[in-house]
Amino acid sequence: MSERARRVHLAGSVDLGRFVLDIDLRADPGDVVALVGPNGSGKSTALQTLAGLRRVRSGRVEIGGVVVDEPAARQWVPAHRRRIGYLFQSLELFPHLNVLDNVAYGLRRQGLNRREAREQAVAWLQAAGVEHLAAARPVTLSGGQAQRVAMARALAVDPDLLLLDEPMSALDAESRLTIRSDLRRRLDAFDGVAVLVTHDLLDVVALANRVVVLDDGQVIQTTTPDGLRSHPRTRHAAALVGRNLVRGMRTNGVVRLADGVDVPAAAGPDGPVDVICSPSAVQILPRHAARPDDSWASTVAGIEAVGDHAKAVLAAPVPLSARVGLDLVADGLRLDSHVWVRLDPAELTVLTV
Amino acid sequence: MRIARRDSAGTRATPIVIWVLGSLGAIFLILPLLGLIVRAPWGDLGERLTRPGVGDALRLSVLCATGSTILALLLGLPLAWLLARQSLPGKPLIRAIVVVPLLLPPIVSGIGLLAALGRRGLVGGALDNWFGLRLPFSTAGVIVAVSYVALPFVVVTLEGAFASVNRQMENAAATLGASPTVVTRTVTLPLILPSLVAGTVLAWARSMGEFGATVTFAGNLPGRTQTLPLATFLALETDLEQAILLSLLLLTPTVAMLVLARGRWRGMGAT
Amino acid sequence: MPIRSRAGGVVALAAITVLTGCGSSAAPDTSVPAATGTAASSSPAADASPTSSEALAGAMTVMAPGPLKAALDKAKAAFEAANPQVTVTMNYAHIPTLLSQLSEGVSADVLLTPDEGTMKMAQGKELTTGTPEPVATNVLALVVPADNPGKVTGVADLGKKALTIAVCAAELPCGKLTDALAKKADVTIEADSLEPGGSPGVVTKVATGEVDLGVVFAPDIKTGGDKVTAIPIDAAVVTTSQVLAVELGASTDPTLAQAFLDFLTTPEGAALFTGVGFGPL
Repeated sequence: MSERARRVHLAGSVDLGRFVLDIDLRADPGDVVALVGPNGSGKSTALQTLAGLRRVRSGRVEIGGVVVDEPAARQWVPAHRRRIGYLFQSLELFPHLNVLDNVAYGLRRQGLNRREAREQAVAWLQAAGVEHLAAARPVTLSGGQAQRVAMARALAVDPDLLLLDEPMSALDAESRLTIRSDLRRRLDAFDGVAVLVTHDLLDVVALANRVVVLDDGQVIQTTTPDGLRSHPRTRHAAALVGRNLVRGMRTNGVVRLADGVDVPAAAGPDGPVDVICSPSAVQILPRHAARPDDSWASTVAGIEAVGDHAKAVLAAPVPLSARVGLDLVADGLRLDSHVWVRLDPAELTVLTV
Repeated sequence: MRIARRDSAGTRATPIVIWVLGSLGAIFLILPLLGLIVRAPWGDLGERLTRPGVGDALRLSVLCATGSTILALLLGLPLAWLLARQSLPGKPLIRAIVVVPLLLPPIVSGIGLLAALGRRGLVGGALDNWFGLRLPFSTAGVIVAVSYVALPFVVVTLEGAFASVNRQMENAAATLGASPTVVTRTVTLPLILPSLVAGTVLAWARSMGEFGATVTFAGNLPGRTQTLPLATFLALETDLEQAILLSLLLLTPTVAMLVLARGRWRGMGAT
Repeated sequence: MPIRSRAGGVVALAAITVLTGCGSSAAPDTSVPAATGTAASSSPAADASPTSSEALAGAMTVMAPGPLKAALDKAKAAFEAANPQVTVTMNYAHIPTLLSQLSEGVSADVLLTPDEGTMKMAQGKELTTGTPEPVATNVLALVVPADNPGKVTGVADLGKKALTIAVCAAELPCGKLTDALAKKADVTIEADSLEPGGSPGVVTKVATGEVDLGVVFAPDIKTGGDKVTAIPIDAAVVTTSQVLAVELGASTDPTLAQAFLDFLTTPEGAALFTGVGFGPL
């Protein structure tokens, strides 16, 4: 199949009653597109629309050179006639079939007889390293085994488009590592388009070459994993890459982040801006200390240990994550502590909204 | 409960009051059956079972119970599907109507069936005039009457089953290339199989024992419409022991079916 | 019609007031307190019924099959009116059910059966005492839907295959009588249903219009109202059975039982049966 023929293009809006997903997503063979965004931002909806489990209200979906959904042209190809592989978040292995027949299921639907389908399914299980589980029932599998079987089942139908819905979410931290590197190899070998929904920066960095940031049904940013890390454009994306993002208004070298909270920012455009900084750029002092310059009063809304330091979450007037030393905690920093907050001007990135 | 047995692990076990009342419940169910077994004329079992009409009635009962179960599945499965998955106007009302055959005295169900499907009934007249089809007093009529009474068991059991099927699993099948029909056959039905077995067996068991709707709608003619419950009822007129024996004859295959089917779906759940 | 005298009514009220809980040993009470204030001037000793010359008192139970209800409800009312200190409880059920109840120890004083066969069953189980006495005649009749779609005219129509025909199940009294009718009239009945519900069951089926022709006990035809028409059977072939009444061995008050039996066989009692469609003795 030609390069062009395996391209994927989703451009349109999907009515969900609650909100409308407006999206324009293009991908070429070999692309692994990561969809990131908070819950309810439309990531899964985008996958379901590509899969044919939902229709666009307007616009057009094209997979592998075929228009599969275009209301204006009365064009509609249902899910079972699209060349897709879908790895569901909860895997959805068929409990009434053994592992082999789960993988053979899609092959049978393509017209292979039982013997041929099982032969090919064995090959896919071997590729996934789980051929010894062929006769097992899905309920007996570990999370990692089930994930490999589900992946083999999705790939066995030779899809043009592979849809991965939080493929690692059901796994414990340890098997995530092995499954992720395994998935990396499978995706390297896959010559179609893959679209991946994830909440995990490691997935984005390790698996994707492109990133689409969604928020409230809108595409906020289309970038690369590196672009996401350096310039996240939503609070969620910033949090995903471990950074703070605060919206403000810059005038005369000062960014107003909230009423009475002005932060000096020498560089950057004027007008509405996003201020991006890492948690280590957020400095905290106890309220009984003298108020530093350019600081404001806040309270601690959450605190947790992260390795050799702690992460404090600050509430109003400016929501931020701050990296604090454990000594500060030992000195009495805790939930509801009143503190002074200051941003290190040298560590701020200021971008036009 | 204050009084409770604890198991060896020290966790809270079944309260004694549940044991007591539960056992009483079981005894209450067992005693009448035991009474029948004790009163049964075991001495001349062979002679009694080979009396004219007994074999016919048993054969007809099995035939009609099986036929009506198939009819109830044919109509009840799709109805359960619609109730579980389709937005329909007046669903609560439809659900209530589904269980009406359980609520009505079966004889009244029979009258209702006559009023609907009898030759002077709402649609029965048309059936008669256009197709020459007369259900009352025919074996087909027995099947229709019995399936009316058995239908709720199928619909109620399966509606719950359809509603509890994970739709995402059906979506997974669709993305693997299965058309809606194939999804139903290869995923949905296998997933609801335990409920399907339960509903089928309950419907069959209820069908075997049906009396009121049958006698009202289809009458009683040996070899044509006289099922075992009807023969049992008539035996009561002249020979109580024969009636008891016929009831036990009716119970044997039904209880066997229930026990077997129960084992089957238990086994399925475990694998 | 039952005879319910004003005087009898007063006696009943007075007796309940004075003799609550007393058995049949209670002597005739002439000192009626005017507790109720109604018709107190009437003579309490009025003799309005053939069986009330001696004061009877107590409670009794009469068992009978459902089809006798119309006649027996009136008999109960008349008997109680005539014997104000007596309470009669009616237990209407299917004969085998009644016999089972008796076998299991349910107490009752009088049993009525629709024919000799069922009476023999009761006697066979040694549940009765004394000789059963006939109180009425059960007569068979043909019943058809009001519009008579089968154009039935007589017993010969029972042999027509084209008609939908229902008769009583052969095990039942009316079924036995129907069999006798078939022999007597020399006709093979082409029945589509042998109704376990007996005569009332057949009438119901005819009333729904599903059945063109039924054979039933004549009194039951009334239950079909205006949806059915009775066609009397030619006197030359008609078959009948005797409604019998008997005292039960389980009776706790044979005097009362006998009094009720006596009442049923008086002309007044017999008229209650003929009044609802039974044949005369």
